[in-house]
Amino acid sequence: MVLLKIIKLLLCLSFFNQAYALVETKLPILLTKQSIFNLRWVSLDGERTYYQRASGDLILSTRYRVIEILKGAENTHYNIVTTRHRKNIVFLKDEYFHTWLGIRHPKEIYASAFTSERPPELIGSGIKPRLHLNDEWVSYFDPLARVIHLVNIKHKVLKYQIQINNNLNPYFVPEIIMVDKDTVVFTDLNSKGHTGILIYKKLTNKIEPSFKVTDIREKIEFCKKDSTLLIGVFGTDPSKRGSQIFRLPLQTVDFKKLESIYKSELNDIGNIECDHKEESFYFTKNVTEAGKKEAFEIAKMNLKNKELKIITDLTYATELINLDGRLLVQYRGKFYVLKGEENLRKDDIFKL
Amino acid sequence: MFHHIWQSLFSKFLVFLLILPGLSFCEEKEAPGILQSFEQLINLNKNQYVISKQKKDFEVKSLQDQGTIADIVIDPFFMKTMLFRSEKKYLKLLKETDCSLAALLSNNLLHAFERPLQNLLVQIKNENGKNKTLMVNKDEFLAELYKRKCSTNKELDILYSSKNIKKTIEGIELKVPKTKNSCKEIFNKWINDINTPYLCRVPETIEDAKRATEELKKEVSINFPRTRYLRGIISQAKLYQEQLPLFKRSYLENLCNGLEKVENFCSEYLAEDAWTKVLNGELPKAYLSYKCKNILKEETPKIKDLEKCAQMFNKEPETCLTKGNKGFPSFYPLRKCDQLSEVLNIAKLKTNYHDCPGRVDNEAVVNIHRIIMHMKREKLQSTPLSCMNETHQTFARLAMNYNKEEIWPLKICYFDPAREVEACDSYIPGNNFKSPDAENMVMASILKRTKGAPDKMKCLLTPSNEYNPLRLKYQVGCFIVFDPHKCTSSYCPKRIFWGKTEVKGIRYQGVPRFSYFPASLKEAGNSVERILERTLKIRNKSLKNLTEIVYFFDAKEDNIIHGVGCVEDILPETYSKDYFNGCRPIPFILDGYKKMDGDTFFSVRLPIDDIHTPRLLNWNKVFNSINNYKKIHPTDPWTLNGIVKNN
Repeated sequence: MVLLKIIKLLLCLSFFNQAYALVETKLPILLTKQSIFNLRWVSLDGERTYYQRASGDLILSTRYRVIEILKGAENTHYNIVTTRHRKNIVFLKDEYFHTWLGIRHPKEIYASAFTSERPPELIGSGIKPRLHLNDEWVSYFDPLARVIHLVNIKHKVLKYQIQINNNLNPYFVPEIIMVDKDTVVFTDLNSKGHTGILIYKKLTNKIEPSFKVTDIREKIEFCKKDSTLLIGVFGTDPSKRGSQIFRLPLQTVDFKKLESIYKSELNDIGNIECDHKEESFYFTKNVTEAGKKEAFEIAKMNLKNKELKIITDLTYATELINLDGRLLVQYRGKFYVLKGEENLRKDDIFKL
Repeated sequence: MFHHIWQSLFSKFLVFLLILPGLSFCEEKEAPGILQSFEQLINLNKNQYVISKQKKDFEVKSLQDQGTIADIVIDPFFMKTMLFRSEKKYLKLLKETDCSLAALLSNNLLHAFERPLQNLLVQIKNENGKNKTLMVNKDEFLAELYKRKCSTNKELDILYSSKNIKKTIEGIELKVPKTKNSCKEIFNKWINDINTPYLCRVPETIEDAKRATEELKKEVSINFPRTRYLRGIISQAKLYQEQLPLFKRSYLENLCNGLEKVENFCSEYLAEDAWTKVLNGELPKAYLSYKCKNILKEETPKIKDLEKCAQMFNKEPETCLTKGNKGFPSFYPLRKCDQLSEVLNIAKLKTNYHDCPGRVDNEAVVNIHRIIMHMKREKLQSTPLSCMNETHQTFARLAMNYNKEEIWPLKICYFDPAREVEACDSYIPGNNFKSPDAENMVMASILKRTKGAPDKMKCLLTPSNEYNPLRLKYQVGCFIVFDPHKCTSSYCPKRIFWGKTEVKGIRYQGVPRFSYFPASLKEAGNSVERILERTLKIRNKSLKNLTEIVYFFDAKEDNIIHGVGCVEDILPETYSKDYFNGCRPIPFILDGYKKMDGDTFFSVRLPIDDIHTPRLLNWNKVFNSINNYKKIHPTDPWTLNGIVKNN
């Protein structure tokens, strides 16, 4: 009898603790046939799926076939980068994901044509790869040498590097956007620690500063939306509050034409997502009410009429992920779907 | 106890004295009553004084002309005026004896309608028992009082004169309270100390001098005696400022301004900020000293340096945002001093060292170093040159003690001419002349064996911006030159110079790799979690929810928690999640908690942060980071453990 009471009490306590993790939301959960945490990329139509195996391999599953794309040591961790242009695909391979805990630890970066079923080619070693200019170029950052690498995927001999200036923050990672094959817009830290935007022109091999935040506690984010660059300036520390998003036409890259399209007195997380056809962009907005628990939701801004709409109801949605046009929010170990098909089970059955 | 009761009764008596004229006066004139405002009472009192002055002849008389004086007291009406006009804080020093009154008068702490008070209305009783009211000079009155009752006051006047004050105050202990109780005790001692009015003359004069300077600046037509008086005040204040150190002047200012209430006096010493708590000994000295040492560039900061830093951190909180980690690279910017103070108030980690996370790119090594330093309570003489070696050494020793050299595979390889093969020697990165396996010592040993370098030759890791082969000191010995801005434990291109010649054919190899939490069964024995358990004789207690964490912290004063999570979730404002199932695992230590705005916040020590700059992060961030790492981990472990010492 006593034992029964203890069990009941433990169940109650367990429920109470779990309740903290439960959330009531109208957002559907992403459903997959296999463990979602082994998946690395799924196309919007469900035709192509990349997943990793504990043995260390990265597998492509497509049209009832399973193809080994990359091979690695046991527990190798992979990640994948694509854009809506779907011309090329970039793979990150980290054989020491669980045995070398270092946020600056360089990963092997590979690239291949989007539809290729052959093993991709090694591009280099670094972090945060990005595809640019219709997926023709890839950039990545070497945090130890503090160098930005830009490589043409088709002709790998066409490549160049930019040495960044930052000597203050060993953990700084620059934002990089290629305007054209010879012009790169990137962020760096000055000698006082202010993040600034610089323009590198390959033909003249010169770097020109063009914009600087006013406080060292602010970060800059880029998101290229066709011929426009969205620039987010977000406070990163509770002691300095404020967020602002600007729009800059990329035809001339003239920072005098910078137009403010959003402003808030709170520190938004940012994480701007704009890689889609719609005339809008998404970002993580701070919706904390005075004296209450910190709260974040995903917001959508219409670029035509600047209308802002909160599209999640999770109270703590910090990260938005674009998976081939399917918009997902990861919250406490689950993926919630904001846009796109949520049920991948029917596809997986035939394709894996 | 009796003293408290008496003091309280005496204060009440004073208040009664203040109200009494109002009550008695209301019988004669209007009826202001007990609820009448102080302003009205003062005006009433002033009118009464003026009327009285008109009625009587109040010319200043000499006491010497009054024959034999049987008794002398201050006129009750004048007394009431003084009590109204003087600052309430000094009335606290009035005791049942006339001598406390004399001390206040002597130090110009009591006022009537004139400031300074020069003359007093007194009542004298002659030998025939007849009373007489007359105005006398204050100094003459005091001399008469000293003669009759207060001989000690006369001595104190001498001791606190301009000539002797420096020496007198040197001999008085100005005790700084450390706890609430000791503060109360010290405060009561000052309230009952006859020296207090004399000590309060110092801040009072300094304050008066400020007003005097302003008056001299503004008023063009001040009469000569007034000008002389004002200049006298200014020169007296200057003397105090020259002769008494800042600490003593600040102490006296706080004491005299806080006489009215014990809380006023104690608030300075029992402040909520961590910096003052360090000075008071309530928080570990390391919380302030390493930052202070770095900012003031003082090798061993003394108490006055720490006081200076505490004052600076409280007055200019932006200081800590950019200063305090020079030579010890870490995440930048740091945090504001007031934010840091808030976290340090709840932090428990022992931090008697200064590490340099920016130079150690395996964050697990930094985290383990911090855990071991906490458990062993060790102190290190960290310098920008030794900090990397200190961190690696802790981990290397742990691995070697556990007979797991394979997780410490860093080696310097060279051609061994004796055996005609390539040989490799283990090393721990960084300089350390006391450790034979430190990088500089291993390199020296290799050069001695392979290049015939002299036995006494020493090697030194030197930043490239300091190395200058043209200077004499770099022409003798061996230097391992590296670029400090591009050097971590796994990536650090180096050039070796012996004398003026660059040594070729020596290469570095290996990186330390190990699991923090085992990724497979076969790794379980080699994981950090297990190695720590066996070498430190501790147990890892899995903490799965907030209730368990709070209970764990409350159970023991120095309990700490360590874990691994995704950096994108623990610091979402800085690191965005770039990929589907993306995560950059980062270990961390939780060393305290507080509840605020309906949320629970932790003192978090991230291994990318300066050790003396913890962050305050909420449970949502900690939980998300652990949960999202758990999901992509091969064994699905809950990666948050409390460290429990085995008995």
